Amino acid sequence: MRELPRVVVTGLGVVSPLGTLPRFWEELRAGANGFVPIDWFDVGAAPPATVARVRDWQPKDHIKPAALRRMDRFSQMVVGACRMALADARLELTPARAEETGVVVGAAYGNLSETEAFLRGLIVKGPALANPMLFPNLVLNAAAGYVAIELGLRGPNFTVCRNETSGEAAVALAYDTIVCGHADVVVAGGGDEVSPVLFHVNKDLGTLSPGRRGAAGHEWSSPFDRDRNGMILGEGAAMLVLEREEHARARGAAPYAELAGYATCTVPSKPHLWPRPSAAAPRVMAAQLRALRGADEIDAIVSCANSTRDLDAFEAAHLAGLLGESAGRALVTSVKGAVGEFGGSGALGTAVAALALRDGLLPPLAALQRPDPACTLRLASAEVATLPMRAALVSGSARGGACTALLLRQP
Amino acid sequence: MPSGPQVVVTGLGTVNALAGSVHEFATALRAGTCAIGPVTVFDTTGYRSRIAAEVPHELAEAPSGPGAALRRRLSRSDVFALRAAAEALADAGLPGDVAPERIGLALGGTTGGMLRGEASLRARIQGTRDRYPSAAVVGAPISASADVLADAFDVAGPRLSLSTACSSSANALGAALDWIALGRADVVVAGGTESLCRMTFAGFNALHALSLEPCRPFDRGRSGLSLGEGAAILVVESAEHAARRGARAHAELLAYGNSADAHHLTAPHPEGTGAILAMRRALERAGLEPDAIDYINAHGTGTPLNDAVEAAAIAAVFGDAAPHLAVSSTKGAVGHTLGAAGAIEALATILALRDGFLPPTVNLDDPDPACLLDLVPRTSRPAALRYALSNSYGFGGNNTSVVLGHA
Repeated sequence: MRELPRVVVTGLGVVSPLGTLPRFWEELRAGANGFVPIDWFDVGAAPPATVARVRDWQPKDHIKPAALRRMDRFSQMVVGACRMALADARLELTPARAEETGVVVGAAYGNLSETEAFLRGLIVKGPALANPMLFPNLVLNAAAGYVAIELGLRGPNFTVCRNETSGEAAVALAYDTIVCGHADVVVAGGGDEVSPVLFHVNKDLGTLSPGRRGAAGHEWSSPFDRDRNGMILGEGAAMLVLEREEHARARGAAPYAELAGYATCTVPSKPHLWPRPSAAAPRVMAAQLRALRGADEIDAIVSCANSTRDLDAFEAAHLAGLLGESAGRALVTSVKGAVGEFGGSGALGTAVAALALRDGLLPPLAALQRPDPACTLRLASAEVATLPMRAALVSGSARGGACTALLLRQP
Repeated sequence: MPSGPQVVVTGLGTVNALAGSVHEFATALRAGTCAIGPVTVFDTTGYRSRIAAEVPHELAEAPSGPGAALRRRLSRSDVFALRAAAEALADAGLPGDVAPERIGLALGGTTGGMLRGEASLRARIQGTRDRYPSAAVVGAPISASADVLADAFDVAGPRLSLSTACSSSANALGAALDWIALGRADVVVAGGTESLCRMTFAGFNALHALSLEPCRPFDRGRSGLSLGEGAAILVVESAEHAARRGARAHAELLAYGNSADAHHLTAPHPEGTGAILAMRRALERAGLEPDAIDYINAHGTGTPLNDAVEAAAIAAVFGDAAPHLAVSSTKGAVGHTLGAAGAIEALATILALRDGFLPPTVNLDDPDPACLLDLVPRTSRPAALRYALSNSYGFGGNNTSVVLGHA
């Protein structure tokens, strides 16, 4: 096979519990988080009662009123993030270019709140009164469809679902879509929305943090902490403009980073559980990673660690196994102590890796107090670290055992 | 793009309303049987339409063998996927000596474990239970069936669930093709699974898209679609890999093309521009001119708008040849299986190529003169086919065409 075309990241759009860009990046570096008490649905008597919530962004600044009225909240976040990403990339969408521009969105659940509303109406009022206006919004790819409609993008249009790593999976599929020649440009990323049902299910499963030990009532997300005791759910959307390098160069774009490729595999795991540390880092995935340009220059890692006992333990073993001897060199962070866990968190992590490469610094694990002694990684402490930043790895692993590691490097 | 290797389909499996195996499916397709009848999986009181192509009860029971340990957690979609995958893997002689990490998994679907999620939500609303039963909801995401298959069959390569509404599993075949071309896997287990549920039934019912009688694609009197359910799984690998391990090829998988209408979330573009783009992209990547295509398995849902737009799009791509081009829809037989439709119809297309027949458009009595194609009404016909196209279109304005060839 001939050498594959290179792919670069030329634009970023973020709708997050820490705001949009550039505020999101400033807040993240400053160690802020987007956690708020839930006051818009009944959470029950006992904690947890906190999520990371997208609050202060104005969809109407990005989406026309007529379209906004039809669009569910999750789609609004995705469409908004796409519009910001394309503006950031300064990509002029001529008709010819729009026809060759694709969209890949990753979401674990998508528009679950309207799904519940539709079903509630069906159950309470009966099928004759089921709301036909809601139904089209309930397909997982409604957001990607709205992106195509609002921005006129007629290239390949995919929506992928892979639990907490839906965002990483979307970026990976977008990479393949470009290198296989299906599109010159793909706007790729993902998102998800906090909904009552998702909150209650995770609460019942015991995966949510009930609060920091000794500090009653305050949920606490601290990836890789010795005392971590669960995740906090989050939401938002992050979309990246991925572009064939030649195409970006021809139009004079200034890339944040090169997306050098990805490594992926499935490790043994029950479908509803995070995999065990013993399943971590199969040789085949480490070999895939080593084959990528820049794999020996990884200075930073944006990890999927979400403050659960299980995933963080797996991830520590996984990264150590994937990187071998160089695992001790790279500085490791996670965004989930700031924005929580959701299907698009890996897309947000990919945006963070791109920003880290541009600015040469990595946002901290702000809540980290006592690093887990079982974790041998070099964790980014409360200080924002400036370091030589040649390449950054985004590592995602999901319930059910699907793992993807995306490698970004200096363009 | 590097011109990829030749890719073939070496394993087939299905469960649908017509059949519990590929052999039964081929027989029923040739016979022109319609499997659309009364819905029994949930109460349809109060719906305009009360029919669908439902999988027989015994085929919706969790199978013994791989996946049985998960029995309690399996959704109806999971069960269909497990049964179809077991048949396809056995047919392909897998795993044999293929390393688990060289086997990928790409699955399409749109509702996952929704049927059970609905029941638990109903219980919660009606107060018979005051919590969301977590097992039901954690089993509900669209990615769950792929998780179940990976666990049951020890598939350790790349894994993806695609959800692009009714083109989901056609796009899963596309991902499989690209993975083989890029060397991400030697073998990909690809397809789709979908079960009937109240959400889609009520949604299409509310949109007045459900036909009151079994659907009649391309008929002048067509009045909507009939929903269906089931799964189809294809085992995809390079011809070289298949030959090396002595696997028989049922068909060649040449290319796919995808496009977005960028027009409307549910209505197709009136001129079919997205459908035209998808067919042209697929043909171009396959290196074929339109006149090489002998048969099209149409999306053909039976809604007035879809069939008219699809026929016009085919006419635009195939020009003067269109009136004589064999085009049929399998949905009169197995209903519209949404996320599984792309895979079930690719399977029908493969059987047509392999066994040399044109699957009929079941329930088509009075071909719409506005759809000027050879619509293979009612009865199958023998035909030697070299190349065929399978079209799948979905909500979101998503269009996918897959090119298949005689092995």
